[in-house]
Amino acid sequence: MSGEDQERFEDYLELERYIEELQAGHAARPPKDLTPDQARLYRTAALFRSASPESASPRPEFANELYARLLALEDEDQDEETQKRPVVTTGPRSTSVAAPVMQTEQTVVPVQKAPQEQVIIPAQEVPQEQAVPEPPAVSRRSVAGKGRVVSRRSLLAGGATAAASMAAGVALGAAFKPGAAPQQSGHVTATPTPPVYGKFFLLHPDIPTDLHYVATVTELVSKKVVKFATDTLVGYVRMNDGDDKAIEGTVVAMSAACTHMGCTVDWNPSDDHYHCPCHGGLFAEYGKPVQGPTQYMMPLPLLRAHVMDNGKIYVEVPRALSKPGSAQSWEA
Amino acid sequence: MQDFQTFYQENFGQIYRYIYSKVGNHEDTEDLTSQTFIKAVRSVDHERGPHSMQKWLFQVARTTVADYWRAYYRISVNSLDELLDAGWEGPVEEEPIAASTTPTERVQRILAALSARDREVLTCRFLLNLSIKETAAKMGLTEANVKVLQFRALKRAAGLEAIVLGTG
Repeated sequence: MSGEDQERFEDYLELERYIEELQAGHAARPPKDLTPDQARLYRTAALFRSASPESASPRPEFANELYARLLALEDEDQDEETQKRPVVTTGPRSTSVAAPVMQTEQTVVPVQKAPQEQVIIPAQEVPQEQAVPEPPAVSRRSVAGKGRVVSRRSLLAGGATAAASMAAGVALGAAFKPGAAPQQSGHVTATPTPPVYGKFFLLHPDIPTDLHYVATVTELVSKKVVKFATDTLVGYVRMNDGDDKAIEGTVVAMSAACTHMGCTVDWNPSDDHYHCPCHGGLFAEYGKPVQGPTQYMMPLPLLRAHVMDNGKIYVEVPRALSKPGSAQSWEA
Repeated sequence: MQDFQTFYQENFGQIYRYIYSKVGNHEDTEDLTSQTFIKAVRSVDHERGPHSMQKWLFQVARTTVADYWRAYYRISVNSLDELLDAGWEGPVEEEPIAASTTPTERVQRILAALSARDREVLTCRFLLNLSIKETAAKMGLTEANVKVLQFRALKRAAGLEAIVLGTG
């Protein structure tokens, strides 16, 4: 075998290091500057390692995370193709928002956890207009690195990430139908029109939802406001006092994700307002932003609530993609 | 939504296991799997049907893996032979990812073609996951011996892989 590399002492050490890294179970780095023969040797080592009886199966959380990310991406791509942005947003296109937001154990973003880990965007980058927050997409960097790039849309909408994902899924699904072209007229985003107070719903009607029980009418009347949480969002319900003409329905339900940066707002019984612990966002009883520094924010998005004959109140929440322990798995 | 979910469900596992068999650890596999799907979804041609989407996806997986390994190569590779040797899959359609052989089967075939000593050291380190120390004890060698032996055994295994499996 001519052209064979001379064996060096370092070769043995480097290989040993590589094998130990593989055995330790974390990322394994072959040495750099490999010759074709050496590269082949290391690839064979990787092959042998993968034949080890230890599981070659992916983590289910990873499967879910990637799925959610793909949906969010498709949503961004669709936005860029659509020229329907009503508003010119400020801020540079390649905002360096890319700090890891989703840590490994989470599935589709549960609102109650995400806010604590979010990056603080400098004030000038927040759109000042009160129209649709269609912020520039973060730069398309490869996700080969350890950071997870999260779209600004998801940061701004907070709890709407799940909803945005579901919405994008509708558009993405169209792409995967045989022979179908995406129907622009059926194109869905989380907020296709400027959010009108009283009409701004988190979930597009086409998104598959489940009914989540929150309280009975009796309980709600006595407690005034009830907070609820699911895998995908946190929200509040209250009775409609009829004092605001813009608000309809017997029961009003809304997302608790502050429309500034997605932190979960806290209801304060003494002023009957929702307070955001992060930047002082303030919302009135039905989610309308109050005058002050945060007056240009969107109202808290509404959720659809249903009151049954037996007095039980249910809220429509996004149907979960997969629940832990459920029969559905990502493996073919 | 349902169609993409189905597509993802049908292909995620295969792609993951394929990449895992090429890089040998989960962390890198997650990175590369993400890259593959993101690339594939980004460049999806809406006119494609799901079957051709699948082929496209597999192709992207192959080039993603090849890129990963290429990053470790010495830059002087310039002849086509060297490139192919180095694992560049090229435009040629190689074995389908959903091959009939699993990594375990392929490894067994290679092992069967090696000498007993080579077989033993590779089994110890890769299939039994023994440490250097444990392997040395088991085989009655010094640790230094094992380091040399595993290197050469792997080298011979690498050389045999093409012959035994009939792949390039």
